[in-house]
Order: sequence, then structure tokens, then C-alpha cells
Amino acid sequence: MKRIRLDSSAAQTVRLPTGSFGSDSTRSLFTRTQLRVDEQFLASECLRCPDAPCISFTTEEVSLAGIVETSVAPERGVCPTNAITLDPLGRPEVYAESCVGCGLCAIRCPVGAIHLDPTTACAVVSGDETPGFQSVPYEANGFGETRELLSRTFVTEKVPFPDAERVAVQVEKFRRGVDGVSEQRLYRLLVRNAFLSLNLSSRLKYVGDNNAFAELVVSADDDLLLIEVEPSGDVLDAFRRVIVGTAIASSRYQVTLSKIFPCIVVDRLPNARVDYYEAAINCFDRIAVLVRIVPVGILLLAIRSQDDRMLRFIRDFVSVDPGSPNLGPQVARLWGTAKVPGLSPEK
Amino acid sequence: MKRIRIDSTQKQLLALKADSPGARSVLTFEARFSHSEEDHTSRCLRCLDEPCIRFAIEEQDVLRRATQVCPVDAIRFSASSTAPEISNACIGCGLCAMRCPVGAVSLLDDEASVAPLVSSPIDSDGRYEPVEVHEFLERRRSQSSMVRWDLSGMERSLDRLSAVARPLKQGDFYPLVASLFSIAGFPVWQPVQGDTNNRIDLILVDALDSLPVEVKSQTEVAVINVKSIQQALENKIILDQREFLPSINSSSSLVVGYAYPPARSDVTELVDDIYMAFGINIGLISVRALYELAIQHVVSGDPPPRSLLNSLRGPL
Repeated sequence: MKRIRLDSSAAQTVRLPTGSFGSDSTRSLFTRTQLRVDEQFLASECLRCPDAPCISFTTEEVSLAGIVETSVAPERGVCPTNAITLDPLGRPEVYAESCVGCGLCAIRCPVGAIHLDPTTACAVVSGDETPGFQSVPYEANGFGETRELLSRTFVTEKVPFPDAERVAVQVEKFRRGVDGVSEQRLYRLLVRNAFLSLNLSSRLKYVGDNNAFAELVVSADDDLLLIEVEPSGDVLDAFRRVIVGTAIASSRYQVTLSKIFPCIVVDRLPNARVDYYEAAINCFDRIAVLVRIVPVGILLLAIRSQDDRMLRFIRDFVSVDPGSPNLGPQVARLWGTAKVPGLSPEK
Repeated sequence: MKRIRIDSTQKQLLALKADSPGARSVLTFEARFSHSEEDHTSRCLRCLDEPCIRFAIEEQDVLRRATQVCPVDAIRFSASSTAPEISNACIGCGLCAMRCPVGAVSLLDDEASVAPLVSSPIDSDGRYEPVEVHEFLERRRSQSSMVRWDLSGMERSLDRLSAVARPLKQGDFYPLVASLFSIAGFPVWQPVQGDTNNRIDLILVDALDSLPVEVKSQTEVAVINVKSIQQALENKIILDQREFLPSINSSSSLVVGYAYPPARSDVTELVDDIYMAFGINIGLISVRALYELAIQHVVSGDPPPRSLLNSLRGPL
């Protein structure tokens, strides 16, 4: 990737934006992903956005309007480990020791000022010391004008599918966890934040909330994703929880069963000998509830690519034989890449 | 309580009669649970089928379930003894006492500790009243048709018996529940523990409509909780779909726990939610209620209340 600083002459060479980029007034000025012109990716220095999308979500993003009460404020930090904060000058700063390389801050940055170091899987905020920067001063137009310029000059481009090996580094790093933060909590935050970063309202269950129907509820159009996060392996337990959650959503909140998509996010797919697959088939046959199982690696791939196919992947899981733990062919069809780490069941 | 001694010359005759389930249902066993003045007990008759120790073949009607009545295997005949001997392992659950046709096994009235079981001594100290066997049988027959459960005495007995189940861990609690279902007239299949292909704790086996049972001892969860309900739902789905035993979709999945959840608990609402969403009934049974079912069946001799359990939703 080539990083440049923007000036007005460089900006003139790119196309005008099409469509809007979301409801948030500040972030809608910018694309939610890294910028690309022709075959070159463009990134800017940090613009010091007032709402700091790399650090926090807005209330609207966190809410699940009309379905659950949101008076109990969920955690709003983007980083599951709070590794990114603002320094006294108002620039984000990443503590490498806490960073788990999930990439959420990077994909939230409107101008690509944060990237992941491919070898350490750490988020890095671009600065003068960042190699590869072409010095094209943007200060000429002043802060406000530059933001205005960017809003008029860049078109959203999706980042191509991330390199699988690099994601594997991140998944592995994530799996190991970070000092003193429990793995379970990390996963829950990460998964919640991943869906938020896909512009989907998401809400984590808070402690003691008996009316919650799942650990994580995601609202996608009319559909409701009920998600249980189970990194440590008791998939059957998560399976039971998510079925009962489906019952609650249907009975207590009158959500149509066909609009409910129960999912389990796992570290890796369960061993083929585990009863999970048969239980899932039985459940589908008996009460027409299909439980999806999503490896966290898939989630990371999806959020890094900012791809709507993420949702489609989860919902299209209907077409996967739930008895087959091998997702490879399905992933290849949906994602156009054959080899994805963490997708084969343990032998 | 008046104790009756059976004339030893008639022993064999009575033993033969007691051998068939019909004889046992005539000789009802409420001896220790009733406060009736007319209650009679006998010394051990050495029944050939040893109902205090094991279930009869017809009762078992099960696939792999252990056949002994006692959950901790504390009661057995030794070669030399004239009555069953009860070891220190006894937890005082009262199952063998319930099964004895003549009330020869009783619970000590020691409420301070878990009451050990003792069998009446063969030779009495004069409190036994010699009676002819046929007379005894006649008396029991006439009484059994008139027995009405003394509820005040029953409540106390149930409290005491269910308290016995409180400290039991899984290994003792599950057999106790299985035995209680058997005594209540429901043939039980208890899958081998650790068999991952069958995670259902117990199954009430029936030719048409088997019911899965999720068992939670008090040492696992104090009261029936949300997790128990989740497992009961899974049990029902598995039993209906795998078709290794006949079952009917509309009948219940049962949870047996030490106690019911409090009224404010989420569990009852969850049971309703599951019914609304999937049309599946989850029935809850406390150990106390299960004891009551078993005792009622033993005392009345009525057929087991299968329809009650089949359609149970929420607490019994």
C-alpha cells in the first residue's frame, strides 16, 4: 500500500463520491474504509475527527432501537482491550502491549490513518515516521477544508479480501489473549464491535439481564441475529442457550421465527465427533430452528474486508449441510478464496 | 404402632404370595407414612423376589438401568442373615421401606440426623402379636381398600424424605430419582453415565410415548434453573428426532430438581416462552413431588398418572 499525504492537486484526480456513508453526521463525510485511487490505496494522516470513530461508537450505533431498552449504557469503546486512546494532542495512540490485532480501529478510520503491522499484527497510527509516506502536505488547506475536500473527492472502495496468512497471525494473537483480560470478555467485545463496524446495531447482554435473549443481539434490516460467543469450546451449551434465546425472542418480543438467525461464534469449529452437528440437524428438523456456527476467523476476515457478504454468509448458512464440519468449499464459493485459517475441525 | 408377628409355619405360603406383584399391591406399604392407629407391620418375611432390594423383571422393563432399589446399594441379604442387612452407606431415602410389603423395614424416628434404616428384629421383645398368615392377609386386604392418605403425616414424611436428598451428589441422586420413578410406576431407562451419544439423564420408557428427564441434584443447582430448562429442551428435540424410543411431539420434557424455582424466577416465564415458540412442554418436578407420586402409587395401587406427566408444563 502506498501512503500519501493529500493536497488539492492530488485530490482532483479522484472521482466524486456516490451515495452516503451512514447516518452519523461526522463520519458520513468520509468513507468508512481505506481510500483507493486506481490501483493505489491512499491513506491520510490522522484528521483528528471530533467523534474519534477509531476509539468509540456513537450511541446510535450501539442501540437496538425498538427491540430492547438501551438505558443501561453498554461499553462504547471500539477496541476490545482499550488499547487505543487519545494523546494530549488529540491523536490516537496505540499501546502495542494491549493490542490484539483485531483491526477494528483501522477499519473505522475514515482516511486509513491506522493500519496493521503485518508481522506483529499491531495497530499503528500513521505519522511522520511511517515508512512509505509520500510527503504531500495537506495542511495547506487547513483542517476543516481538508475534511471538506476529502468528502467531495473520494469514492468508497472495498479493501480486497485480506491476506489469509496475515489474518491467521491476528487470530492466533487474539486467541492468546492479552494480560489480565479474560478471553471470554475479549471475544464478546470483539464480536460485538465487529458487527457494529459493519454498521449493524448490536447490543451485548449486561450482567443480570434476565430478559436478554442472547449474549449479543444484532439487528440487520428486519432480521435479528442472536449470537452466543463460545470461544472455549462448550458448543453444546451455547447451542442450548441460543435455542432458548430464540424462544424468548419469539414469544416475549413477538419476533417472527423466520426473522431470527441464531448463531454461535467459536474459536474453531468443533471436533467432528462432538454431538453438536447431529444436535443441530435434529433441532432444525424438529423445531425448524437452524443454528449457525461461525468461527471467529471468518468474522475477522469479514470485518477487515468491510463486506456485506459477512451477513449473507451467516444467513446463507442454510445451504451448508450442518452435518458437515468442513466449511472450506462453502467459504470458497462465498468469499472467492479457498484456504481460510481456523476453518477445519480439529482432528 | 402395633406390630404383628406372623406364624413362622406359614412363612413359605406368604412368601409365595408376596412373590407376585399382585400380592404386593394388596399388601400396601404405607406402614411408616401413615399415622393410622390400625397400622400394622410385620417382621421380615424373606420375600423370594426381595422387593426391598431389587425391581422385578416386569417393573424394570428397561434397557440398561441398574435393577437395585437402593441408590447407594446399602441393603442386601447375606447368606447367613435372616433379614436384609443395611450398611452404614444408607442415606435414609426410604425407598426400601416403601417397597417392603409388610412394613418390616422402617425409618428410625431420629430427625436430627439422616435416619438410618433398620429392619425389625426377627424375634420380638413381646410387642409382636402372633397372627395367622391368612388372617393377616385378610386384614391387610380390607385395610388397603380403606386407606386414605393422612395428609398431615404425609407432609412431615415428605419434608423429611426430600431433606434426605438434599446433600446427595449426582452419583447418588440420579439413581434415587430413577428408583422413585420406578416405584411410582414409570419404567426408567438410565443411560450409562459418560455415554456422549446419550446425554439424556433418564428416560421414562413407554411403548408409545417416552419422556426425557433432565436431573439436577441440589449439589449441582439449588433449584431448577434456566440451564436445566435449556437442557430439557435439547433432550426433547433429541428424543423426538433420533427415534430410538417412541415419543410424541406434543408430550412433555421433564426436569427433576431438588426444589422448584422461586416465584420471581425467570424459569416459569421461560417455560411459557418455549411453549409459545416451539409448542414444547417442559414439566418441572421437585424431589418432594416425586416422593409424593411414588408414595401415592404405592399406597393406592392406582395406575401411574402418565397423562399428568405427559402434558405437564411448569411445576407439578
